[in-house]
Amino acid sequence: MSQPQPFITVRSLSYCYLRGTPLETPALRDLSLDVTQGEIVGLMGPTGCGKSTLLQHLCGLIHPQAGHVWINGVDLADPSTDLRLIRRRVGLVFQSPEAQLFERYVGDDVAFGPRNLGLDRPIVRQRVKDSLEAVGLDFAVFKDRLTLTLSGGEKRRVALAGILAMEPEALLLDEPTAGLDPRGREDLLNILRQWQTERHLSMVISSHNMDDLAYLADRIYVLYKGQNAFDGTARAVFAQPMRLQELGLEAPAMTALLATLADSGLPVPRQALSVNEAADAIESLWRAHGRI
Amino acid sequence: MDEFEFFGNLSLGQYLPGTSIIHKLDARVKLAGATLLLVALVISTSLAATLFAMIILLCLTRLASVPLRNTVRSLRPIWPFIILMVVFQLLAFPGSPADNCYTLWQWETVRLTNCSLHLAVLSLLRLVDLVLLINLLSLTTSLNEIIHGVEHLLRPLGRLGLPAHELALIVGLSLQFVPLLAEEAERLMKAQAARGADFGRGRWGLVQRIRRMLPLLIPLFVNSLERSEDLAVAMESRCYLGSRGRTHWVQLQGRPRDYVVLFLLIVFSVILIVAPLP
Repeated sequence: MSQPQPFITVRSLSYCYLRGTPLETPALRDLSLDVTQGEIVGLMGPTGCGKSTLLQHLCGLIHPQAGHVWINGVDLADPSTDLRLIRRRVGLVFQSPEAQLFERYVGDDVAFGPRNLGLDRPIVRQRVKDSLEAVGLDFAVFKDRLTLTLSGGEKRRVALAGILAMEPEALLLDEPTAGLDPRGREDLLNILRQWQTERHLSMVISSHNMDDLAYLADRIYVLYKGQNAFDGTARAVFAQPMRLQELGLEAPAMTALLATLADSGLPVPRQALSVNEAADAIESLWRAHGRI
Repeated sequence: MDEFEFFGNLSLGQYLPGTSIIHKLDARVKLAGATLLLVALVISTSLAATLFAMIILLCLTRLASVPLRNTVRSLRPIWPFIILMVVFQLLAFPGSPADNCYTLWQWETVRLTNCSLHLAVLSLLRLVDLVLLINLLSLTTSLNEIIHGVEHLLRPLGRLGLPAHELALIVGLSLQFVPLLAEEAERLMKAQAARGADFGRGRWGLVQRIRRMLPLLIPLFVNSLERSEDLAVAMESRCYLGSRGRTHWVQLQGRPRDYVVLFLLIVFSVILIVAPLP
C-alpha cells in the first residue's frame, strides 16, 4: 500500500505581523508540518508561539509571506489561487467562537455557511439538522431558539455546528475547550472524535490543555517562538516531560504521575495517555508487589 | 496586501514609541498646538501657505522618525473621498467674473475656471495636511499622554462646571477602544470568511460589501456593550468615584523647550491665517 497522501503540507513558512513598521513582530519562523488524510494533529506551545497564526494560514485567511502551504496539492502561496475556495474546504473554528454568533436564531446562524455555499434550501436544512445533532443539540428544539438565550457551552456547540455544516474536508480548531467546564470539555472532545471517525477527515487542534491532546491527537507538534521545537506521536512527545517543561509546558496529569513513579525506580511505562492506561499500569504494579 | 488588513491601516490610536523630540514634547503643547494648526489650516485660503504647512508637517514627521510608509498608508483609505471632493469642487464652483474668475476650459455646460481650480487644489492640500497633522499627533503621543493632556487643558473650564476629568476619561476610553474594535472586527471578518462569506470584489463589490457589514456590526455591538459593562464594574469595584479627591501618577511639567515650541506654533498658525500669500 502506498503511503498516505499528506492533506496539508507546510514548508519553511514564516510570517511577521505589522511588517515594515517598528512594531514588527515575527509570529512564525521557518515552520514545516505535515498532516495526512484522516489524521488528528495537535499543536501545542505557550501563548504567543504562533498556533493561531499557523491555523489561519492553513485555511487561507492569511497569505503566506515566505514559504509554502499546500492544501491537497493546491499551493496557497501562489497568487492565482483563489483562497475563498480553500476556506470552503477547510473549516476553522476560532478561539471562543461563541462571541461570533450574529444571527437571531440558532438555525439561521448554523445555516450561514451552507447558504454561502449556494446550496438549495432542503440541503441547507438537512445540513443544519445533521450538524446540530452532531454537536448534541436537538434540531427541533434548538433551531428556533434565540442565540442570545443560549448558555456558554451551548453557544460554543452552535458555533462548532456552524463550521461542521460546511462539511469541510479538514477541520482546524483553535483552543476548542478553553473556558469550558470539565463536563462541557468532555462532551466537546467526544463530539470531535465522533465526527472524525465518521467522516475520516484531517484535524488540526491547538490547545493549552495537554489532556485534550493526549485524548485526541495522533501526532503533536510543539511550537516555541514560531518554530517547530519538536514533534512526534502523542506518546513520544509526552514521554519527554523535561523537554516540555523547558518550554513552559506540562505533560498530561497521567503522564506526569507515571513519570514520577518511574523516576523513583518503579517499573512503570512512562507513556500512558489516559486515566485507564495509567490505572492499568499502577494496578499491575500492585499485583507484581502482591498487594492485591 | 492582505484581504483583511485594512483595519491595520487605521492610524488613529496607533502609537509608535520613539525617542524623538516630538515624542518627548509635553502632551499639552502637542494637543493645543495641533488644535491651533487645525483651525489655522481650515481658515487659511492661501495655496502657498497650505503648501508650506505641508512641507513643515512632512519635516516634522521625518523628525519624529515616523516611517514615510506609515504616512502614505494612513492616506490610502481616504483617497476615494479626496478624489470625489476634488472633482466636485472643480465642476460645481466656477465662481463669477466679478471675483476675477475666468474660464480656462469649457465643454457643453461644464466649465473650469481658475477659481474652481484654486479651490480644488486648496482643499486637496488642506485635507492631506489635516491627515498628516492628526497622524503625527497620534503616532507620537501615547494614549496616557493624550488623556492627561486633555484633562489638564480642560481643567480651567472646570470652574464653569465642565467635568474635565470625566471628559478626559471619555476621550481616553474611546481612543483606547478604537484599535480593540478594529481588531475584533478583523477577527469577526475572518471567522465569517472561514464560513464562506465573501467580502467585496466582483461586480457588485460595493453593494455586497455593505450587506456583509451587517452580520459584522451585530456581534461587534453586542461585544462592545458587554465589554463596557465589564469595564464599568471593574472600575467601580476599585472604588472609582470620578475626579473628586483623585491625584495623578503623571505630573505634567512644562519645560522651556515646550514653551518655545508652543510659541513657534502660535506664530506659525497666525502666519498661516493672515499671510498675504496667493
